[in-house]
Formats: sequence, C-alpha cells, structure tokens
Amino acid sequence: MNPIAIESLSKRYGTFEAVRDVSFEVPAGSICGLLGPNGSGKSTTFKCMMGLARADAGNISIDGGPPRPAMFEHLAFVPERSALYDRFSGATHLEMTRRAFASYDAGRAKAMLEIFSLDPNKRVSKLSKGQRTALGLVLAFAIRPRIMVLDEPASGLDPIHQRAVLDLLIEAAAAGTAIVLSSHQIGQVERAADRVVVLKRGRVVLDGDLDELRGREKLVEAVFAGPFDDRPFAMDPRIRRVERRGPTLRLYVHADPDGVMRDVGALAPVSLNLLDQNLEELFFSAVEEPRPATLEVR
Amino acid sequence: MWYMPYMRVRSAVQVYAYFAVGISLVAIALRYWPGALHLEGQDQRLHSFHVDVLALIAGSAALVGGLATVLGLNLASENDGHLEIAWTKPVSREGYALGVFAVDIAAMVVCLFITVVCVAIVLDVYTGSQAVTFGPNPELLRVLAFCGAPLCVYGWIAALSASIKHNRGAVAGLFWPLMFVVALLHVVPIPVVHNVAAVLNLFNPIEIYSSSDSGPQPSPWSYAWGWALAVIMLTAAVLQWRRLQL
Repeated sequence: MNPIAIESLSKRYGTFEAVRDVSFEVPAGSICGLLGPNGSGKSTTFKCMMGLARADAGNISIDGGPPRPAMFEHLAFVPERSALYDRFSGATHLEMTRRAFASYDAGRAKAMLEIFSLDPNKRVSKLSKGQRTALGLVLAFAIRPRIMVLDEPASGLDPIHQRAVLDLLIEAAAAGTAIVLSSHQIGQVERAADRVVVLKRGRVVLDGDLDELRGREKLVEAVFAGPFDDRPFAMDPRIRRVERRGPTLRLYVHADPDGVMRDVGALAPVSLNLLDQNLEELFFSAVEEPRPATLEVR
Repeated sequence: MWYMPYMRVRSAVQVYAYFAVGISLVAIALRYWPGALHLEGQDQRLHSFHVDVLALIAGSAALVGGLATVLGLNLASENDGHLEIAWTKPVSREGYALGVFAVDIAAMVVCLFITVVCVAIVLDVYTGSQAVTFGPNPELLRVLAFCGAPLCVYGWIAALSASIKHNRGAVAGLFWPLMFVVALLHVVPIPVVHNVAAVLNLFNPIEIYSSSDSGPQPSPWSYAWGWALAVIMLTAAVLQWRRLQL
C-alpha cells in the first residue's frame, strides 16, 4: 500500500463544503504537488490527513493505517501558518523535537540550520516570516521522516532558500520519502513533483503523473488571418478551455488532440501547432472557468 | 513530549518563586524595622497568630491560587495557534493533555513547597522559633486535603478554557469575581436566591474550602468533594480537548 492514500475524502464546515470526494495516492519516493486557488481545499485536505480535522466521509490511509499518533514518529507536517511558540528560541524547539521523536537526528538538524543560515538562539518572535518557515522545515527534516506533508513549504523564503528546499525535497524523495506539498509557485512544483493533484472548489479537477499529463494534455494553437468562429469549440467535451487573443485561438485539449487539430484545420488558419502544455498551462486550463469562458484579449 | 509545557511552567514557577521570596524578604525586613511589632505565639498554635501574619499566609495562598488560575489556561494557550505542533507528535490527544496536567500539578506542588518554606521562615523570624514545629501533626490530613484547593481551581479553569481559542484571559479574569459573587449570594436573605446559591456553591471552590473561626470548619467530605470536583473538571477539559479540530 502507498504511504499516503486518500479515498473519497469529504469535509464540511457548517454549510460550506471544503472538500468533496477527493482521492489521490502518493507512493514512496514520490513528490506530489497539491495545487489549487485559495480556498480550494488544500489545507483542509492536509488537516484531515493529519487528524487535525475530522473528515465527514472517505478513507485516509497514512503509513498503512488511519491517522493515529504513532504515525507521527515518521511523519513531518509543516503547516501553512507557523505554529511555533513565539516566546521560545529555535534551540528550544529543537530540544522539544529531540525529546518527542526517537528518530531525531542532531547532526541533520545542525546541517539544516546551516543551510537556512538560522541562529538557533533567536526567539521565534524575532524571526522573519521566512525564517519561521525555515525553522519549521529544520524541525521537519531533523526527524528524517518517511512521509512529509508540507503546506506552502517555501512561503516567505528567499529564492536561494526556496531552491534549497526543493533540493532537499528531491533528495528526500530519492531516499524513499513520500512527499505531498502545496504551493502557489507552480514553477517550484513543476521542478520537484512527479505527480500533481489540482483542486478547485474542493474537488479534484486534475490528477496524475506529471509526464503523463503533459503527454495527454495538449495545446492546439492556431492563428487566423481573418474572422473565425470559436463557438463550436466552447461546447466541445474534448476541450477544457478556449482562449482567444486577437487572431490567435488557443485550445487546451485533454482528449483526441488529433481530432481537434483536424477540426481547427478545417477553419483554414494561417498557422496551426500542436504543443505540450507546461504545468502552469495545465493548472490554468484545469482551474479557470470552463466553457463558455472564452477569453478574448484584445 | 511535554517539553514545551514544562518550559512554559518553568517560567511561571520562576516568577512565582521571585514573588514569594520577595514578599518574604520584605516581611523579614519589616520585622527588624525600628518600632516593628514583635509577635508572640499565644499557645504554640498557628491559628492564634496575629492577623498580619495570617494576612501573609493568605497572600501566599492567593499566590498559589493565582498560579493555578494561570496554569489552568495552558491547554487553551496550545489552542491559540500551536495545535499543529501539539497534535503532530507521537502521542494521543488525551495523553498530551494528561501530560500537561501532570506538569502543571507538579509545578503547583513545587510552588506550595516554596510557599510553606517562605511562610515558615517568616513566622520563625517573627516569633523567635516559637511557631514552626516538626513532628507528627493530627491536622496533617486536613492540611493535605486543603492542598486540593488549587487543584480544584486549576480544574475549573482548564474545563472552562480548554476549547477556547482566543480571549482565554477572560476566563481567568471572570472566574474569581463570579465565584465570589456566587459565594456572597448564599447570605442573601431571599429564600429562592439562597437556595439557588446553595446549589451553585456546591461547585464553588471558595465555599468548599472556606472556613472561619466563628463558623463550622469544612468537613472531610467537603474536602473530598473538592478533590472529586477537580477530577471531574479535568476530565471535562480532556473531553473538550479531544473533540477540538482545526
């Protein structure tokens, strides 16, 4: 069984449906990027995975069983918002981690402090947002976890340390750690992740291996010399999104790209190309409003 | 596992110790102030000492009560932005809460000990070695039973605040005035008010543990109820704590 397996997870807060029927799995040695706009349910999913919030429905399996205290011996969670104690220093937090986790590695913690240029004797209240994020990551990596759940792990970090985080995650995954992370920085996810799950209004709208998605999801780009009618594409079930910018028509296709190419070619464009989508294009085609959301930019 | 609760309590105990030692030093200094009153024990019994000394003891008791009030908010302070750390350790929520209680109660025991030592020294200074005696004491059981008073207050505060995220200070701030008001309602000469107050005061630590020279001393059952109430309140706090979610 995969270290992380979420099946049909649903969670409501009162009448607000935070997540609905969310399913995904993360195998050992894999990095899964959980993407979505604000309020799409990423943090709620993480809270349910960690047992911090009770799921209304669905099955959550972490390290072979439901969320339970023992799993935290090998699981590191970095929340989106710093939960550190302001009045205590980094060293006190490290000591807390050392006492709580048998797997704590002092050498690893020291190395991590150096990577993030952190002074462990500084009070948390004196740390910047980025330094707090860094301290949270130091605590997470210090226990050499088998599973990592990271909600915006690079938030507030400078580009150098953002890159360091990605390197550390890739290194950890190579050592067999299952990692799921959320981020608004799609470029970072694209660099580190091998799988992505995209949430929109609490539901999974895109899920899969990143290379497979890139191969499956195509972009048909056509340029026309004169007026053209894009309305037939707006209702085409093979197309996720239609974008029109002046004479250029862009169709984000998730099925039968060759057929779509033929249909567009029939409109006699001056140029017609079939392109792979990068993650950013995959993301936007998944989360932006579907047809009839023809976007015309003049 | 409970290092952070320990660190938090350590600070509280330090502050408490500074206060207790400071007050004791002031009291000792006043003893040697020119014209200071020299108290004499009348019959070697503590309750016969001058009212000023009793005020000192009462002040110390208030310090312990204050500490119990402050420490009782510790679960609530975890709930104020730290649950992601407290609940992602390899220990159950119930285990964590009980650990916090154990650390806090240990701190209260330490503070009671500090208080006893300080009061004993001050009494000794004021009375010329006449007050503090050692050896078997028939009142020992009653004294130990009375130690349930801060625990009862601690349990109440913990139960009232365990599920509060913000403004936990309001619980501590309102607790004592409310308890005093309920205690005073007991003497209102209106039967309905008197009866309601009598029921409410069954749960009021002030009434459970209060005594006066003119009135009856609290019974052993009253003390036992105080301990039981503390356990009930701590259980209520744990039940709330385990039901919390982010």
